[in-house]
Amino acid sequence: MEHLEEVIRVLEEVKPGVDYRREDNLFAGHILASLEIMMLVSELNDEFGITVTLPYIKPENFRSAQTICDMVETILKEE
Amino acid sequence: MQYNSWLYLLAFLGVTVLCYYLAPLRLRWTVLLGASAVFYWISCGWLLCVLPLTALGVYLLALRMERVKESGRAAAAALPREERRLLRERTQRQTGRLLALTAAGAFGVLFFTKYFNFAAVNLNALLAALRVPARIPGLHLLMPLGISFYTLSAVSYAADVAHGVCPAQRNYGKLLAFLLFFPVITEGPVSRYGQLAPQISRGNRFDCRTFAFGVQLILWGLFQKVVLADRLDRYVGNIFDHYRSYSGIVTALTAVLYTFQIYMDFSGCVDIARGSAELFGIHLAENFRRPFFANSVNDFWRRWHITLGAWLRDYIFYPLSMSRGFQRLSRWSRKYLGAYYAAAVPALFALLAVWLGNGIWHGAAWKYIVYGLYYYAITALGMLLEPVFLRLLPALGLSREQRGYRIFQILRTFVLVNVGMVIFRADSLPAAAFMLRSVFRPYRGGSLAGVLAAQGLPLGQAAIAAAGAAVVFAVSLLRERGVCLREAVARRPIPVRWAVYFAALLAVLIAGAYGPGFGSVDFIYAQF
Repeated sequence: MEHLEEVIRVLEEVKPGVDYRREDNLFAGHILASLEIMMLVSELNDEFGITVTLPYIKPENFRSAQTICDMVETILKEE
Repeated sequence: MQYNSWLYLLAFLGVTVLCYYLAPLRLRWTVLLGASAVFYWISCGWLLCVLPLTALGVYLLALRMERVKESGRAAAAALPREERRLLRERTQRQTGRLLALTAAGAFGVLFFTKYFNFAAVNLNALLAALRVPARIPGLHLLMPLGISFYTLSAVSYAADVAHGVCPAQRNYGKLLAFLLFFPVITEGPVSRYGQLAPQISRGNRFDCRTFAFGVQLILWGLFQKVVLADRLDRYVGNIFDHYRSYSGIVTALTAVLYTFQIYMDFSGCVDIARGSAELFGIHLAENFRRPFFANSVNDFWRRWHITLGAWLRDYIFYPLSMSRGFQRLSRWSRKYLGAYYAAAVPALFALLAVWLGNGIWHGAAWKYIVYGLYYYAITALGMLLEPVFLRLLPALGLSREQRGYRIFQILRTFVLVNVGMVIFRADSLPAAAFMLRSVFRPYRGGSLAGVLAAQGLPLGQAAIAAAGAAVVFAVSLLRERGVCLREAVARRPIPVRWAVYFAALLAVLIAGAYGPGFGSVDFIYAQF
């Protein structure tokens, strides 16, 4: 939860014009296309100093800003 | 056994439904496994043995992957942080090797049965060009039914186990019931273990609403296949077979009619498959979402053969894009080209593999490879020019939200898709090139109506096809606007509901392409 604002800022850099506080269909709704997912992963890696690996690339992790934040925090804990 | 045959619809499906709901709940998956084996046996005899054997390999290797992961997890718990990281990396390498072995085995069978002769012919041509006297002999190979769809499901299951998306199945029979599930084995949709296998394994109680929805889908699928796709088959086949005799409007219309035919054929088959599964309370993934409302080629592939596109995205595009080499390329691109191209440049390389995979998956011929590369070229160009478009459109006073611009995008996508379909359907690449060029040459061999009538689509048949197309368009438009027709029909009183069902059945029986002038038409995608 503590990183939610940073995640939203990263999301707005990758794809502006989306209400990331409300939107909970980012992946399945194709709001974030494959290319934008890759841009997001690259930005998250830089922003948080983590490595998002392949097993984390699944629809449920990219549903909303909150699920992305949960994923980041899980990786931070693991690393 | 064809999904639109009486043998399948009345005898096979009827008996299987009866046995399924009479069996105890916990054994219902065995009915589906038995039915799948019978379906496969009737369809291709002794080739039934091939898939269970390869599935055994997938089953054992997936179990091994899970054991490696479990022992890694157990050992990591007591280790300090740095050693835990090293152990995690070692475990990932081990599961990666096992996954590579599983994929090599599954794709090896697919390659041998589907692509061996194609590879041999091309290698022999290369050897001849190099004046090397050696030749690879061609083999008379029988391709097991549905091997392409089976392989994708088997590899995705192994990858999901390796990545911890789903646990390994400990019951070989249940894994086989998923891999051989008869509604999807011929033409998909490409199934994911996590989505489909639990529905098969748990056994489902009879649910009148789901059953009725299943019947609806089967009828709708039959309408698409028997009334529309099969009606166009003879005309489309005649023109493509004698493409040199035609040009202009005739060739252009034939391309459009083939696009419509393959859409109705494939979508019809998938709807029959999804409806069949719903008779057992099983929901399959959607494979089409009004593809001709797509506003770009990318959007088209998110709506057409959705499960194949998703498979290629999840098991080729992401793994390649996330690999170390591609990540290094991404960092380099970010440094010299900016944030957009940091993602776009590695994606361009990963997409080449995706589109080559898409093309060659469809068949062992150069035209399929070119078909994939055609879409790659469009996608890559769009991706590279996206920043230019983003600046250019406002400068020209245009917006992607404008209705007129959106219609232009839909029409442009439709034209591009039709060009792709000509490459896909033509006998060879030179034939496709000839047809595409001939569109710009006026046809002077008589009236269009005359050609249609002479080649298998007289006025009456064309009128039925046009009326059917109008129905499909209206249904698609409603669904695009969020209206769920299945729900709308289900909410009606019983007499209205049954009237709709009987009308659909009558439409299939009366307007179906049977009798003189029509032959039995195989499902187009079954050959892939």
